[in-house]
Amino acid sequence: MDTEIKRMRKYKFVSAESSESIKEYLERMAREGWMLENITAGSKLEFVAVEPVEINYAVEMIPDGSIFDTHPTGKNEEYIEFCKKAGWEYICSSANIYIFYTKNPDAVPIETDEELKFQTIKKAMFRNTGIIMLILSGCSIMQLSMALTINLNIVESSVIAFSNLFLHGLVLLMACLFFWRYFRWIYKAKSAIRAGEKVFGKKAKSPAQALIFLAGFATVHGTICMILSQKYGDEIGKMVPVIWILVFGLVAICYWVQTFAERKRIGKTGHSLIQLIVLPFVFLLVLAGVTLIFIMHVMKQDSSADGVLTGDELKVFGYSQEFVAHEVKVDQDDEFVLHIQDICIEALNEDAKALRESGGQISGVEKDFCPITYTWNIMLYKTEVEAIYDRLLREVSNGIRTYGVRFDYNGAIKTEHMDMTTFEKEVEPGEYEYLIYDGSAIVRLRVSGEKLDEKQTAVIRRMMQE
Amino acid sequence: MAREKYKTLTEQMFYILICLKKERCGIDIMDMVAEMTENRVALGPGTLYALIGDFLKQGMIRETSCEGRKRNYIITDKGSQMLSEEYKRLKELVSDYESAEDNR
Repeated sequence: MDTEIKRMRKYKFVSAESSESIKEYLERMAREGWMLENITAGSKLEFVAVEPVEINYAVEMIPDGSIFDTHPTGKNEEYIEFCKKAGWEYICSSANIYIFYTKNPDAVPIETDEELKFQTIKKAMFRNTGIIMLILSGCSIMQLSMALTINLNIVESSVIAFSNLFLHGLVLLMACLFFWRYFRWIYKAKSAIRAGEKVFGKKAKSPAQALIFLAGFATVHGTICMILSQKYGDEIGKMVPVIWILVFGLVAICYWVQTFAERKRIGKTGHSLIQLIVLPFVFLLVLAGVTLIFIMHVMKQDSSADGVLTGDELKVFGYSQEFVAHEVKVDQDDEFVLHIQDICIEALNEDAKALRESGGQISGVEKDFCPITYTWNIMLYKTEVEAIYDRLLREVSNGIRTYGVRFDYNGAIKTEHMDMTTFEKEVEPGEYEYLIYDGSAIVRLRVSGEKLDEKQTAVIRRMMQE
Repeated sequence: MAREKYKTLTEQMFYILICLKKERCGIDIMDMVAEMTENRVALGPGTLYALIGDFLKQGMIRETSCEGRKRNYIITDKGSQMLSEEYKRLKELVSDYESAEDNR
């Protein structure tokens, strides 16, 4: 005789609002000769082969349970006792959902007050999912409104920031979907109670459906980000697919942690601590690490890129190589805006370094303060995105910036300077500020002492052409 | 459960409170309700559990002792008061019905 016990696994999300449909499903399985044995991680249903049998199942949500429960504890055991007394055999629990069966068709139902059951489940749905959805959508609304106002420049210039809008949109969509279903369910349930019908017959979704939806979104989102990153040369934007892989990793780990917690019967507090604090923390840590790797990778590429001021070019601005021990490079960060590092700060750092190394005084240098700080600096704005460029240009000539640093160029003199339009302004006696733009970039330049001469503009022009 | 529910008690609530006039454990309540009402009022174990939880929260009953999984409860003054108010209400209903019958 074959004594091997046959088992089968099925995947379905077990939730209170779909308890009726789960119950019907389990009863159908029993008629087909499969008896429920255990539920893992709220979705893996394990069946064992039995003689086909006509039994009644009950899928009930315990009122004082938590979604982080891994096994019945303390007072919840009283619930099982009550049910046992009423002829219902306990099979297993999945978080706050308890599964019972009875072979007695006349057994008193576990819930005899549909209104009370409805109120309990309604509250639990809001507590377990509603609050999280509210918090998430609140964050998303805040992020979206900031992205469309004060952070617009970042959004326009960074693929990552731009792509985040989609994610916030997705969160909002999910929250709207949840609340729409939630309120529709409440409405339907109320009329069902009035009519004396069953309330909790919502069809149970399978984890595969959720995963396919998420994978579909990730594919579309990742592809768009890759295309944009390629188009605009935004290397950091290329980490979006990596982020998605991490997200799927997180989903898998959450599932594994829940399985582990249930197997080891970890308490509610410990389990919720892991799921709500430890896992998000580890995820953010890994994300930060990956971001750092990408940034370092991009910086490495930059150091070999053009956009370097040579020693001779430095001289035309009154600087010699000795002030700048290493080459000053164009800092090509994740924005399309190129920003030349403040050469004077570089010089200051070098002086500070020299000071540290000499262990004493350098004439004219006190502590970390360099007397030549900010005699001039250059900011170079360069973008491949036409919309940003147009706006920068418009704002430069208006003298008003809608965000970020304010250009105050109302009192500036406009000149044509070697194929470049220049706004020149004496901000303080002997200190000039320039806004220069050609067909591809805008330079904001501050010069002490003398006005910009031809050699200096030639250097700027070279930088702009790069 | 909404608080206004307690202004009038459902049959199940009413019988649970009656049972708890004496110290009893939950399982005994089920038996007693079935006995008292000759199985007319069906009190499901889940409903009983939820109502006990609610009554405890509202201070209408209190837990007296706990032996393993078996917990005993007894009605409080607040619970007794609500029960007697409900009794008065029911009596009014009956007398209103009777006077309506008499006037016919």
